Amino acid sequence: MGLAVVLALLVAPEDADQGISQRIFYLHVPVALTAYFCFGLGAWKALRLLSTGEQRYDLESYVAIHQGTIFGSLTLITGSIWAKASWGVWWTWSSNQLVLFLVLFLFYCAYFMLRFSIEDGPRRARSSAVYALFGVALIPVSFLAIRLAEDFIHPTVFTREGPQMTGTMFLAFCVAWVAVTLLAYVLYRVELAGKRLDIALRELREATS
Amino acid sequence: MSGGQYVAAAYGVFLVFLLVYVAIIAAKLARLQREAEELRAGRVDGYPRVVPRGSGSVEESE
Repeated sequence: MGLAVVLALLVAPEDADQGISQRIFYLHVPVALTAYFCFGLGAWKALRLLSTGEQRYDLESYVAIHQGTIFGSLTLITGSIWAKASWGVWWTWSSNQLVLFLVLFLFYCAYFMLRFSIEDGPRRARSSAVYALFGVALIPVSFLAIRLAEDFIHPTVFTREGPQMTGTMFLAFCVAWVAVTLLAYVLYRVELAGKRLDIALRELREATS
Repeated sequence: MSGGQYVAAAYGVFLVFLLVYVAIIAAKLARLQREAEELRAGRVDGYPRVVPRGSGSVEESE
């Protein structure tokens, strides 16, 4: 992460159009891609739960979606700051990319309401898994919205001709993307280990009572 | 606000989120560690004391 921050803030050249505020790109886009990845991972684990019936996938799906909502919040906040710096507004409803990401984010926020409204057990695991799978359909729609709608407000950096940036900028972006993805993975493993330990301790307490 | 301040705000928010998340996880792990130690020592009220395998009996905690 340190290398990514140095590359993004000190090494990458300043953008000719947006100036220094473009440096938010090296944080905002990797965080958004990581949020998509976490939601996708949560849906994949949900699919594994439904296909195999193994309950461990329920916890893995839950933790991945929890990570996704954290990175989704960061995407919305950093995007909003960047929008204010570049467009002069904190939010615009005219950009499909923004609105669809907000819909995706709120959809997965509702996942927690569903999950905690059902008593712990296989029924909750199955219902949560089905809901998580429905949400995954929104990910490609959200990702491709800007291209499908030809939205000119939100910039399109990655086109069919390749990344629209210099080599140093692309390097800074790639390093930041890898760093944020690794960070999310480490946080996922730590949170998962904590939750498994919590469950194991609860079972031990019940067994000894 | 200048462009630089917006950049600082974006990276600052990321750092604050990360620190809060790590603090929450650290607090939870500390609680789990405490509970595990309590279970090991047999100090949880109302729960039997965990005794080494082969000692023959399960002793009630205080």
